[in-house]
Amino acid sequence: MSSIRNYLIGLLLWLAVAGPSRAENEVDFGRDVAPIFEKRCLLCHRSGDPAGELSLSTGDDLTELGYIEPGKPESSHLLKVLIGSNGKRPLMPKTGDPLSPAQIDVLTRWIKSGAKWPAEAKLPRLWSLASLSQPVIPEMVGADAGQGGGQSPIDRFVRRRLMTEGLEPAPQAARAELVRRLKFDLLGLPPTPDEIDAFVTDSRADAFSRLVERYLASPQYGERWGRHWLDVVRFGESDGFEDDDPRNQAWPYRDYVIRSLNADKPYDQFVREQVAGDVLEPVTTDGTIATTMLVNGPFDRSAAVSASKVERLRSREENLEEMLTTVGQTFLGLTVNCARCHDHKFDPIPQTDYYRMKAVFEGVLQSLSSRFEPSLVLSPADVAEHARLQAETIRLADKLGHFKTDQAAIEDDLNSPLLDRAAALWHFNGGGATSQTEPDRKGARNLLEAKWSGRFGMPARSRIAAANSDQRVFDTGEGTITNNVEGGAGYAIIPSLDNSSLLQRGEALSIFTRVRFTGKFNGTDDVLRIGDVGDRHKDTLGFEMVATGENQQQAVARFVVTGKGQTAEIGVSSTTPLSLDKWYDLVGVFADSRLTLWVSDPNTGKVIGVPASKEVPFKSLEAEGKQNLLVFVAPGFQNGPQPGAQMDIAAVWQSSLSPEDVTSLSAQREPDTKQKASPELRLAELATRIAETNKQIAAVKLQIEQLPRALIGVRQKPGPTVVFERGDIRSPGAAVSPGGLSAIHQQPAELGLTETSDEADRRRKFAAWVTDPRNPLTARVIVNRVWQWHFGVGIVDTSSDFGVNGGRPSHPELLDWLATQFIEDGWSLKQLHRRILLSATWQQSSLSNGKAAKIDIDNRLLWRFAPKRLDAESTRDAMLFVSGELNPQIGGPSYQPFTMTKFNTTFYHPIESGEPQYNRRTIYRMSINTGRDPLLDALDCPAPSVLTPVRRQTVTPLQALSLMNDTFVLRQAKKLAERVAAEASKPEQQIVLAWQRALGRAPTPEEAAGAVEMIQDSNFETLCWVLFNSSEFLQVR
Amino acid sequence: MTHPLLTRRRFLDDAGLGLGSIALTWLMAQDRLLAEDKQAADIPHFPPKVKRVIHVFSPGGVSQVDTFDYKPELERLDGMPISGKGEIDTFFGKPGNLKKSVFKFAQHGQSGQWISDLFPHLATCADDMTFIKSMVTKSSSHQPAGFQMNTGFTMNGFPSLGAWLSYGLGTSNEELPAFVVLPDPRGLPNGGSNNWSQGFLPAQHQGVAFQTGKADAIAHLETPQSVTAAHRRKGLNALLNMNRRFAETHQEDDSLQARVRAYELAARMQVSIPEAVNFRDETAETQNAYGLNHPTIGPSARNYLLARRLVERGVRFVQIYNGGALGSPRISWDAHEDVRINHTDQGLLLDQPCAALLKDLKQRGLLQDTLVIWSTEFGRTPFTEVKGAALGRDHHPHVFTVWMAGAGLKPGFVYGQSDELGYKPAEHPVTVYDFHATVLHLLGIDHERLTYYHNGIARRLTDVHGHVVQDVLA
Repeated sequence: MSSIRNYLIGLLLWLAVAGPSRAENEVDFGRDVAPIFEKRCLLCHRSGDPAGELSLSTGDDLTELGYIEPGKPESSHLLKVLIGSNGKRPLMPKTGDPLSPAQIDVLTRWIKSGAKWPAEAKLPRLWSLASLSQPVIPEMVGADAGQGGGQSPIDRFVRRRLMTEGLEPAPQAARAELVRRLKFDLLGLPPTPDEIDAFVTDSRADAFSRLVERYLASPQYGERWGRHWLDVVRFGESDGFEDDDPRNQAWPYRDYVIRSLNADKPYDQFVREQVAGDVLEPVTTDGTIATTMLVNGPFDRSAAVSASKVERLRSREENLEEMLTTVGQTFLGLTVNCARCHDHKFDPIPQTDYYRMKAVFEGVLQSLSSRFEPSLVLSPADVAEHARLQAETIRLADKLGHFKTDQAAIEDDLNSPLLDRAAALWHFNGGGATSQTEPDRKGARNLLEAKWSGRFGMPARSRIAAANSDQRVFDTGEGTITNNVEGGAGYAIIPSLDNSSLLQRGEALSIFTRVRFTGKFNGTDDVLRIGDVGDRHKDTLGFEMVATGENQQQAVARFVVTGKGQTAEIGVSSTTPLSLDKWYDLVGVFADSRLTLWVSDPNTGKVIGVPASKEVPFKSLEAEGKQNLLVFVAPGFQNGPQPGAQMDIAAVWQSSLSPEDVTSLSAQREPDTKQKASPELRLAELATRIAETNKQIAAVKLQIEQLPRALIGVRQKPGPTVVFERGDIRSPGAAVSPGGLSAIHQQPAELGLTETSDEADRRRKFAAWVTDPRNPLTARVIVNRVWQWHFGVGIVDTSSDFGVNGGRPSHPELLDWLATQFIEDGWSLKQLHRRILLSATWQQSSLSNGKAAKIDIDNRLLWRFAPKRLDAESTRDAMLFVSGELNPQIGGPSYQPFTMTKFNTTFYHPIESGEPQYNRRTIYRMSINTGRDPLLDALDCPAPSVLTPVRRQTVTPLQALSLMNDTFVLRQAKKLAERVAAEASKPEQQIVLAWQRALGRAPTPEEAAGAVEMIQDSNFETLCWVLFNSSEFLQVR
Repeated sequence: MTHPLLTRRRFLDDAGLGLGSIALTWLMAQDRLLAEDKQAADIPHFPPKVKRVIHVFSPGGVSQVDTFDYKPELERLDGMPISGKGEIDTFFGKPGNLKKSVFKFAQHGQSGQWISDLFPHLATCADDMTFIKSMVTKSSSHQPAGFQMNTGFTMNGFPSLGAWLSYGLGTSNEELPAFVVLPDPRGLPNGGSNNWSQGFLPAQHQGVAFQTGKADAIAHLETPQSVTAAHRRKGLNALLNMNRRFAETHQEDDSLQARVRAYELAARMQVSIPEAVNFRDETAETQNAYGLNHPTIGPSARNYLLARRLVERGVRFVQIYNGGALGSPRISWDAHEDVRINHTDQGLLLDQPCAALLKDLKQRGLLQDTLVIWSTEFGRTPFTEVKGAALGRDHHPHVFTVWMAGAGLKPGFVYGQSDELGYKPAEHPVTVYDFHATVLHLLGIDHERLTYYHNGIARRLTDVHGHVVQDVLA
């Protein structure tokens, strides 16, 4: 007992020194006692499974188990365990620091006054879950109370609180200070000397309000405030983890944020879009892009595609936790993620709530593959355009396909090993050898044309002898022959080269052609022969057609040869008749004293019927003297109907072809039907066409690429969501349906969804639940954030944590008043800015005062405007702005001040350049996990993928090194020197200008004198470097 | 409302200390004291055994059964399918047959440690090493497992061990960073600087990667050549004067005084860091012991000697990377194709310099308050990665080996055993949390009390887990 008494005496002494921190001495359970239990004891001592059987969820155990004797602190066991004796650590709390003297004081006085525990008070309770109150605006107070104006509702709330501590607000800041503060606050940039001048000399009563409006209307407002939001939602532009691949399409979300803020999009809509914008009717591009917020956390590609199912599941659950953490903290200021393994240790969030909320997002994934790719996000107008472009792409691809097939076919032909082996080869390219009749002429007239190109294994090229006067003559393996024969036979003669033998005497020879007949068959007609022009039957190898049937619609093919020493040709006929208007491959082989004829269908590559075969009484062909190729594509030189024909190819081998060779010949390609030039010419032409088509495709692709696209991940039908016991994926428990948080009692957490509800419906309903005006958190959290970004510290100093572990509002009624007004103002952020900026509280001077500093050095009571160090982006942007180098380009793809190399991981190597594309505002710098900028890092620019509700404002030696030596800083110093040199000729004037641009004021005479001396000893650039490194430049006051 | 900073500030005022001291205090402790949870300010929680740590990290996954965890049973069952171990769930999903060690094992030192002949030099340090052979980790994927070894978590965005120590212990030499990273000269590891991120801790706790072999050891250290020394001197003097005047007119703002001090320290770093990375005063004998002149080992060996010089000068945590990014050609321990070839190549770069470091530290008395830890992110399967005559092994999170050396430990001691195949722990599984808790314990830190408030949670290196492995402590 005595140790407690001693302690209490000590406590009194301490209180005498420190003074009571509150004016109200009455202990209030809810305000004073409950937070101590909640923060320090309830982790273990709570209903369910309380440690030591003591639960502090209600007050029952404390008295029943004898921990407290109401009215008698000195005999209360509770204090004994909380106060150590003889310098020893107290028994409780087991972890963390012992309770502070002030906390012990609260508990002591509470017990002394009877340890009243209101019956309805069940711990933990959470201040932030109480419904929004409608606080009465306090009366005006203070010296200027009667003068009207100057006291906005905000000021009255703040002053009332100050008064309880006996403090006064600071006077209004100087006008030049105000304009600098305001522009950095709203736009993240310093004012120009002209802007300062204009405001300082503007005597209109609403001059400041006008300035606020001007800045709020500037597009740079979104660039400044968008950055705040991007911090909260951990915006980044690379995958993180081991690959850290760049995300080239994350920027549309950044632009969406900037655009939304500039348009003053109602905050509730802004929230709904980010949760469910891709499924909210009417679906908009903006809304769809907004959902990037859900999936823009790190992407663990390797784990997501591992063969290990444990690994995949682990990775997926981590990913969902990250998503829920972001959603819960950003919009609700709650750490829902703490309830993944067990009920939340502090806040009233049961584990099932975590899984119910997980069920809402169960169908949202980053990717189903190993790459996290952007998706199209289209407005209705875009949809039609996209469809048109898609169709065009298909059409062009089809076209390209045809060209490529043709190309391949020609190349196949040119490169076919079998054809390559041919002793001679002619390409007629389908239509190259054709005939037709002109029936109007008397006696009819055969037009026959053969265009060919050939490759001959035979002796090299020579002049081609003219066979008759109609033939044009070429001396190469290419040519055109037109036979124009009236009423009679038509054949083209393609002469052998070098006037030599096309055939050598051999014991094995093969011949192949692909042909189609279009008219009528008529008796026996030649098709193709190699032989002597003079007597084609004498020394020949070839095919002919023998008409069958009455209508001359069919014929059998014959393969004919003239054997050595024979005087007449001998042939073998196909086993199946051939029809008109179909392509056939005819292959004849002479070998081993045997003739074999194959007929096959090039469209199927299959042999028709069985090969016809016949033994002959000779071992080799005659093949003496000169032969030419005779192309008879105009069968029927007898009188009668004149049919037409087309020939595609012809080839001769000095060897026998096997059955497999025959099949492969027919599998070569389908026949062409148009007249074409040589394969080489056609290839060249095709190459041109392919290039053209590729160009068209690229153009269409570019148009498609320019359609809005964003990194929104994929949606899939959600599977069942189960509670994992202890968060362990190997211990699945009960299934849950999607829902909101049960602790928010103002609205049902049941969203009318089931375990099988539609994915879109889940998020739509959850979005509506978050933004329901009855939800006490959503409005409180955002107005507090905005307050924090204006003042440096929020009314709640933990702006993403409104839980038991977070801070308590310094001005709870003000917070509720702002939140209520905010909803009434249609969730308008700009209106909220106006309320805050036009308050005397925000416009206070930053000058310190000793008395207030002693009581509240953190300025939580707002007795002055707390100076702020410029954040990383403002520092860099301000230097660019002051030097005149800032490139004001708004939006679009991020600038990438690095090069990349890939070795499994993508590595980023910074580049130093003063080119304009790198001089854009820092919010447009591509934000890469491992490709960070050391200067920005040193100025506390947060790592992407870390949720950052508030920036730090450190001052470190590494930061000093960066500001001293970073090439960027030195370059801007040089540019500023050049700028003022261009603006004024005298050094004295230049000094004034540099001061005004950088610091927003003229130098003092002493500073000016020092500067003159300095530029004489060094140079103007060094002076500018000093200004950029000065505390005054780096601070906003 | 009583802010910790306020208490400290008042104390300094009362003690009549000058503004310079305030600035220094503020500079050194700003983040620690500003943390809502000020438990970090009370560190050490109990008397530390060691003051600084060198962490040698071998990324890619070092095979336990080919290095420090001798398994005779694998020799017997070589080429047989694994059985009796339940469902085999591997990263690449095609487990092959059991495969004996590709290296020969022998016992070393008085303590008789089994070490394979991959490490002839380290084997001579056997009696100074303390092994944990029953390590387990959460993920079979490199980066999540690598993150866990470095930060305790399998996600991006958490502070690494070095950042926690920088935050918790600060530096003992304000002219050098508290947390230095020495990447493998062949290239940065997988995930690059993600591995030494400060996560949500303030930026100054990020690991500072020294660019070994470059004149500018760290970014921004050198005054750019475009600035003459005379101009820089002029400029710096003018700047300090200007900032001093500003601080004097705004005395309530400690950060202004701190900035003056920061520039003074920055200027001094420009001298002290180049001094630290310069080996001129190292004897030829020392340099040769590390292998500095060896054509293959030399570039890596520099890191080990530099680590000694840095801890000597008060750097709190040095992390040496024995391996670069994954991918081919292999510059990490990720032996999917052929364990023998891969581990021979990587082991060569670790063995001699690391053994030299242990001996050098010991000989200089530094091992009495320095902790050296060696780890990888996970082990490798005791069977081959694919069926057939395969030579590689797959990722294996179920059991692997780490070792430590230094003060506060039982030297030449083994804790934990894997089963007869080196597949799972046979006893005492040790999580990465336990491993981290033990390291912190040796530094005088209660791992449950090294916390940082971030978005609703008093975050710890060990999340909500971790038990100090008491049995390894001396």
